Amino acid sequence: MITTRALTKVYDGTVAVQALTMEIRSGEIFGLLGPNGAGKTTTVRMLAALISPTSGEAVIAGYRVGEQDAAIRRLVGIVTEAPGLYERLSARENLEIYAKLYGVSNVARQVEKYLRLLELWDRRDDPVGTFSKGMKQKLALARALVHEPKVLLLDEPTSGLDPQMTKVVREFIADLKGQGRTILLCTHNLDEAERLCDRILVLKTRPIALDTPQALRRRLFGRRVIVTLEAVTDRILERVRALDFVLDVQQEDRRLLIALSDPERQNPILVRALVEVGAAIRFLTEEEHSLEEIYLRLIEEDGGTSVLPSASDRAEASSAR
Amino acid sequence: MSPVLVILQKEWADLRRHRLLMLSMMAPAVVFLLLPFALVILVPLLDPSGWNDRNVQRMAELLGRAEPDLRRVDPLLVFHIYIFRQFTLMFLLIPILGALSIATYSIVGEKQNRTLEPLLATPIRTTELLWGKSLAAALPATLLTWITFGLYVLLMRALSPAEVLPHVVNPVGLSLIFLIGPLVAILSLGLGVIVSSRAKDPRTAQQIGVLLILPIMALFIMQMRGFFLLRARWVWLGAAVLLALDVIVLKIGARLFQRETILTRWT
Repeated sequence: MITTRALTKVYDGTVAVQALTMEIRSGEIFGLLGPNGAGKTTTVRMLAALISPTSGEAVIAGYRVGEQDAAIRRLVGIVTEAPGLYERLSARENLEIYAKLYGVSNVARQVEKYLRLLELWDRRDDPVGTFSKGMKQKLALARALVHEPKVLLLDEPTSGLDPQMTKVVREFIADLKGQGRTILLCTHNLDEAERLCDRILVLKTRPIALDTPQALRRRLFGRRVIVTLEAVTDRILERVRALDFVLDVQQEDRRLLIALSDPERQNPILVRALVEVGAAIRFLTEEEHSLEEIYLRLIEEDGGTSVLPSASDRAEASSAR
Repeated sequence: MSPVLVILQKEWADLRRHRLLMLSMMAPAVVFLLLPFALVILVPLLDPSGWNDRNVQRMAELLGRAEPDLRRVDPLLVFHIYIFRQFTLMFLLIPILGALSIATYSIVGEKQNRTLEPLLATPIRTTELLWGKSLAAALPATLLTWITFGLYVLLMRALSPAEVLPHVVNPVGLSLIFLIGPLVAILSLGLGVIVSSRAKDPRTAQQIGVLLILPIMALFIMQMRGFFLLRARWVWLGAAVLLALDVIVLKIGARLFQRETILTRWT
């Protein structure tokens, strides 16, 4: 649905986006992650045909950015970082303006449909200035959808919302995916990206990594199981190290962190070996790496500064305790 | 519906609910409408001889030269004509201030509220958006001027001697209101667009735009001091100059009013 090739934007000699190549498939939620100033908003603006690329190309549903912009604007809906609503006008008036500008044939029906869907119908004639932030964000979503776009570009749609409203908006976005819309989601909220996105792209002016969160997790951290024992002895450690499929073993108190290539197949063999040498197993779990860890590792590897404590910091803190 | 009309509708719906802006537009109109009547009624009462000062006499002399029938008219009537003519010139401030207020609020306000980006993401052309906003500013400002002038004429008929009206509602007065008025409104909104592209809040934009008032004030003071009397041919010449300025200013405004420029360069 969306394809970019070496998409680049330069503002007055400053590179905002560099050589972005990606393909967003029809019907998927694609996450765009990156630190402030990474070029996420610039990318969204280019894809919404609001600004033209300096070089490279972007094609949306067969229409080329910079050449067929009017056609692109008709099939794209956008939620900008700020809701950008007319606060003196009512919710209904706000949507009517956009429905008319998008050339919607039955304005009243579409406006009612989305006001009801987002539970704003009862407040339809109230000035938007009296709405809570969450309601404004829902109205901004309704505005982006009023012309039934195939592609949705969402720039920080849950930014600044309370957890309850965040959940409502998030669930609504997940529902939109079910309707077959293609969604590009820019977010700083990594939990949100994890929950919603099929694939993510980490951007830091240029693309750093693109894959599913699971694939990135494996690529960066491998797969480890954590075995918690009553006690760890040298014999147990030797036995585990002797297993040919074990890639690495680390001990943390009574826990063994064992890197495996195929835990589903290898775990039963590992457990048998541990029991044979008299290990009393309390728990066996797979190590979980949050998307936040993946993201920070990627940014760090790219020369950024991690805000997570390093392994040595953690060890120091632990010994101090 | 044409996108220009949608924008026009939106702007007016917003304007109707912006009481402060409405008030700031109406206030000068009310002042310019009532002040000359207050002057012609109160000044001779408060200062029975002083009103006929050197400036009034110099103006009466100029008026008499331009319109010989006025030489035979009572000096108090000449004073009335003089005041009402002066304030016809002041009426030009109504379209300037009105168009400037609406244009700067409409553009800088959208910048402040961050409503421009979603608007520019729709299929509307920037020229259509600029037209919608320009009409939304120029039409009410011009209509307000004409309505105020209409009331001015009605009040003059009701409160002043019959000889006064034909000397005020003459080719010069009508050209000022119906020709120069819309042209200064366009100039004002064009300047409003240019200034708004840089200003961060409507007040700053208006303060810069208010420079347009200076030439009108200069004309007002020079005529009040009896240095010259505005003639029809000067008004038409002024209209030609204004028309040229309008074209230049609108072209600059249209050049600034591009999607990418608005989103990336307007600070």
